[in-house]
Amino acid sequence: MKNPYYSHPAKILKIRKESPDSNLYTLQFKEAKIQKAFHFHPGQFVMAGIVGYGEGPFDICSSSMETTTFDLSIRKVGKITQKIHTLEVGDTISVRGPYGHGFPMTKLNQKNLLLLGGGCGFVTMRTVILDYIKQKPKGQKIQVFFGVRSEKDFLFRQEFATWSKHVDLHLIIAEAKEKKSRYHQGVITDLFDKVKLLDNLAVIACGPPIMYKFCLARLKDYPISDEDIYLSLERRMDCGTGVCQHCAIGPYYVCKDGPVFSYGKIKDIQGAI
Amino acid sequence: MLNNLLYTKECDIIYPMKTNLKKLLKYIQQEHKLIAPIKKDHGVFLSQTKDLNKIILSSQLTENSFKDFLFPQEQELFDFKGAELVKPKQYTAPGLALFGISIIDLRALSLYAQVFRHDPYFQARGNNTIVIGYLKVATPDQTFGIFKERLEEDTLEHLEFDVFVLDSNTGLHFFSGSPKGQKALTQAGIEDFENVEYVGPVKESGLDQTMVANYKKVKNSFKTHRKLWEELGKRCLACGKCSLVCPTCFCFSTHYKFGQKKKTGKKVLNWDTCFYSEFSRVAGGHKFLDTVAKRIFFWYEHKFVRIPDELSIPGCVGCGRCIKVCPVAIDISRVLAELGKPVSKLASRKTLKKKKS
Ligand SMILES: Cc1cc2nc3c(=O)[nH]c(=O)nc-3n(C[C@H](O)[C@H](O)[C@H](O)COP(=O)(O)OP(=O)(O)OC[C@H]3O[C@@H](n4cnc5c(N)ncnc54)[C@H](O)[C@@H]3O)c2cc1C
Ligand code: SF4
Ligand code: SF4
Ligand code: FES
Repeated sequence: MKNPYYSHPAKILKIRKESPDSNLYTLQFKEAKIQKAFHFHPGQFVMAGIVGYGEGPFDICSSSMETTTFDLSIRKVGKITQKIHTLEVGDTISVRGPYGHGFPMTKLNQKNLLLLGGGCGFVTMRTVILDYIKQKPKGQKIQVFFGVRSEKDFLFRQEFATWSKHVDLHLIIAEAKEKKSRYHQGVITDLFDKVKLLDNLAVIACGPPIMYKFCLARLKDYPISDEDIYLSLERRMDCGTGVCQHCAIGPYYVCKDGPVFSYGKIKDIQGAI
Repeated sequence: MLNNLLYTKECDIIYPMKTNLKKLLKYIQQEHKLIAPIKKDHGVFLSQTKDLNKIILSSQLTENSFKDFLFPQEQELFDFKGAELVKPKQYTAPGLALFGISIIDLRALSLYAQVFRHDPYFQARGNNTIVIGYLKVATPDQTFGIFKERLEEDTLEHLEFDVFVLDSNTGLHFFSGSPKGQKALTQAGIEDFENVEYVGPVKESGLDQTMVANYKKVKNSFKTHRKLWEELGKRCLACGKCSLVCPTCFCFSTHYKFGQKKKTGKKVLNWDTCFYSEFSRVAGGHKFLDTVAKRIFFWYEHKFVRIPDELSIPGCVGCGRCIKVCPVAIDISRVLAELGKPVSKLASRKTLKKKKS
């Protein structure tokens, strides 16, 4: 019987500083067999941490077609994440997963996509974008709205130039910008006034609950059904397998039934968003 | 078959049958630590005993449940050395014999078997434990628990046990529910027993109707009966006592504990309770269950919505332990009764308390 509590050691191969408080970690399981068997879908996450300290849920943000390594983007906010930020290349992070369902990409690839990412919630979008660039599904177009407080908070900044060649990328910052900046200024919903949305659209949103509220209100003006809007939810987690109850919302577990839900599925659940 | 065994006629064979029970327990004791209902200061508790004469045979539920032994408060998952966990080579567990488990608790045990079907530690504990159910029938029309269940023809085949002992005024009747149980009975020299084949927790006749009714009552009630939940939230102390004694509560969290040597220690699993505010806390301090009303609703939702949704079996077996321990007398059966009423007919807050007995 597999041990559901066991995390496998993974070696840090690369660390890239993304923002004042976020690092991108490229990892590889120490056991080749485990790395080989590690397949995930966009939107899935792992439980990662340091043995002796603790662990927490983190989205996988490399391309799902990359099989020899995987990436996590980790923001320093508390006990475990601060400790992770002290690690160096060659050190070990313990990882179990992948968990959750991720985005229903087969269904979503039938449509054009609008990716809405706020702050560090953008992490999981990177997988969707990288997969798209590799796969280029026929006839599908992607629009990306990414909003942060100030320029330094943008994750994956070094990749924007490449991404722009493939997707319609719109970046917006809340703080006043310098004159000749390439960014829009305002909050993410302001982009709805500035950019014409694609037709036949499905939406993926990852960000804080407040962003969901405002974005959902704006999306009402478009012919997009609640079933075509996907949100990734954040909850306290421990087991990752739908047993410990920490992440439950209504009848669902965010770890097992999510973390991605269609808006239609959760809109009536008390406290879900 | 079962009902015929109860109160058919007065009879006088009780004594030799009781001898059989002793024979069985004596045999089992040879290789298992016996856990049985024993009288203590505050009531009858399942606890370890060597002395068979101390065992209380009664129709009352024990204060604690099998949970204390099969899903203990703290469970060691791994040792760790440096930055890596050490996977156990094998999963070991003490050989326990749990005697005196009521039908109600056996139902909760079947729930655990489902929930922890992928947990090798729980499975090892289960495999090394022999479960001996026991029911003393005090009156012919006896009901069990807050949902007033009755013993039906097919009750036993939906419960997981190794041996079941039915104690009625027609004597003791033995049932085996597994090869392990069969072996124990035979080796103990008891020839007269019946085999019961476990056919899973859900009856052929369909879903448990009490469960279906409670599901409907609880599901959207945070919206429809908001006031009721807020009243409960005001009264509940969030002490978590109910979840500690509840045989179907199994929330947990995992932790690391450092050992004597540097960079070594253990990863352990501890019981947790959704009544504590930390339960839903995420980085930055936000708590999704930020009021007691939300937490007590969350507790009911787990039992009456999530478990039925996922496993088609009730998440509350109706033992009533939570009612007994609650310091502010919150009574789950009364709460369910109130949730069954339209909002306009809701009783005042007093009626949610348990009746003075
Ligand atoms: C599905 C999912 C995906 C996530 N993806 C990312 C990501 O890609 N990058 C990233 O930086 N962060 C992500 N987070 C948030 C991240 O899990 C927390 O920031 C992290 O666990 C905080 O741990 P800490 O010990 O530093 O914080 P502390 O506040 O010290 O946390 C203490 C404990 O609470 C738990 N905890 C705290 N915050 C959260 C939280 N928000 N969600 C779940 N458990 C929490 C921790 O696991 C830890 O056990 C994600 C959360 C979820 C639910
Ligand atoms: S009656 Fe109370 S203690 Fe017993 S199973 Fe139901 S919720 Fe748990
Ligand atoms: S025992 Fe009573 S007061 Fe304590 S948490 Fe449970 S319902 Fe609330
Ligand atoms: S993390 Fe344990 S139930 Fe979801």
